[in-house]
Amino acid sequence: MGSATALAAFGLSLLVVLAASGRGVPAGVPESLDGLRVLPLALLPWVALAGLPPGPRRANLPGGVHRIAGLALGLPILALAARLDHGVGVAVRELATVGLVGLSLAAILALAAPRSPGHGWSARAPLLPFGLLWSGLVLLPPMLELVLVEVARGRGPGPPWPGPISAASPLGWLGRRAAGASDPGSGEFALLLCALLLVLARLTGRDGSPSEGR
Amino acid sequence: MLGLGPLLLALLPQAPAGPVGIVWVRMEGPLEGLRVEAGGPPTRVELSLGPGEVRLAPLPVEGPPLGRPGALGPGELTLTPLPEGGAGRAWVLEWEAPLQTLPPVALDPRSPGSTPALERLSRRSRPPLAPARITASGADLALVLALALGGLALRRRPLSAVGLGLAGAALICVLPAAQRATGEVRVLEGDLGSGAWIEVRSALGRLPLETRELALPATRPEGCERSFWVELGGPGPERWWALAPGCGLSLARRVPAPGLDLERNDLGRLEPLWLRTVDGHWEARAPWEPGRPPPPVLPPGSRPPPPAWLAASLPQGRLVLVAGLARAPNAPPGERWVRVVGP
Repeated sequence: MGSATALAAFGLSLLVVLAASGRGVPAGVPESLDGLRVLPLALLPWVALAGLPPGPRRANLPGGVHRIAGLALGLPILALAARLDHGVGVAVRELATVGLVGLSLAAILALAAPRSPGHGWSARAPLLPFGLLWSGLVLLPPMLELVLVEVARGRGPGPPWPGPISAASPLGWLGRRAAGASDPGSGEFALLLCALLLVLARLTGRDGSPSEGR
Repeated sequence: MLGLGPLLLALLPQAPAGPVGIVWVRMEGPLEGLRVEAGGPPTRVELSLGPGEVRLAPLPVEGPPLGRPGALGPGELTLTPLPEGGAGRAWVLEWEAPLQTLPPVALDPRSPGSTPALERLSRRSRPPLAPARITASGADLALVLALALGGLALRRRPLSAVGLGLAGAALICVLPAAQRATGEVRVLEGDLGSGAWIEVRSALGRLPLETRELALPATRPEGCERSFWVELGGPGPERWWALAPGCGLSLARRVPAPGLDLERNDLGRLEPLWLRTVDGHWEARAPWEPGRPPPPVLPPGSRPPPPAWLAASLPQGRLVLVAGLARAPNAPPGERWVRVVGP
């Protein structure tokens, strides 16, 4: 996770905390978040952006902790989000689950993120298969659920299958946690899915490890 | 017997509650939670016990068997250790029921502790409620930004950056709690004619029960699901909550006369302050400092009229004082109001 990506995620998390606190946001924004949990919302940008490839300048850095170090930038703001939730009565166990699983998801996705060997579209072209995979597994399920819910609105209950599928996606799982869903799951499917992405990235050599001859 | 004090429960009339008792339960790990049911809304307990760990705790339980003297019959009270099917166990040691034998007495006209004056006080209009909200303080945000800048400065030393992030997160977790913009509203209700005083706490969806304040929270509108929630996970004493998602909860307790009448204020700073005269005319008054004589009348139009819920449904032909009560240092957060009807 590059510094620019981490900064962007930090900024979005900060916006979530500010909105939930009613600081520097238009009237009515805090009320629109009533009933939502702050920590999963603040984690969403980290999980959503962790899979982005870092810039070319970081392509030659070794793997491991270098790849997930950007997440450290988010720990304080996420702790603050957790404290806001705890203040309105969200249980410590719930916060610990969301925090640990959410950070694990972001870390795995950051490790799986491919690296671009250079500038320009041609240099990024090899990243396309991973991008499609990431979109299909992480982004698409919750979007599909949202679309189907909207389509079904006013026409009776929608189909039951998008919910469980969405819950298996990292973003969908966090969204369900944010909404305080009664059956959000403990995140094991989302973790498995991210681990699958990591394995696929390694198998296909798209993780951009320095040994790839760059 | 628990030291419940001279408490009572004023229940909004829309939703009569069932009898409540205190059940002492012994829990043996591994346990992640416990559900207790006695035919009424469930009591949910959150805790974390490792294998072999034991915890003893009093739990509020609501249900018909708790309103009946004598022993609980087999199957009348169900304990479900969580996760279900695990090795954890829980069993009842003793119970304190029915509620009528406890010092707090419900404001039910059939209750021996109830008086018409208390009942009238409990039926006064209640405030509009908003959800509780926590705000991050400026110091919190400044600390987070400083830590983020530190993390950026250390971006080429990832282990140091991770260490700083972890230390910063730990620091934020242990710092004093963020400012709470609570949705809780407290109203001190007094009737100088009878000398009856109650304090009513109202909140939306979730109301902490203070110091073993065994309560039957009322819900509105009728039909809202209500339950008790007990947290045993922390190092301190258990914390009890009444829950009714999306519904208003009100809880009242009888309190001693707080040193306030129409001529004397030993309670605290009252602002804004209105007095209704015997002919029904509301007049705004200047702030009333404790220990001072009653403040002068403010010019008409200098202050808006009192909130409608505070001024509604009060007895006619009597002086009425309504005011906001300044929060004392270290007092729990939330709005505070006083409503006193003269003799």
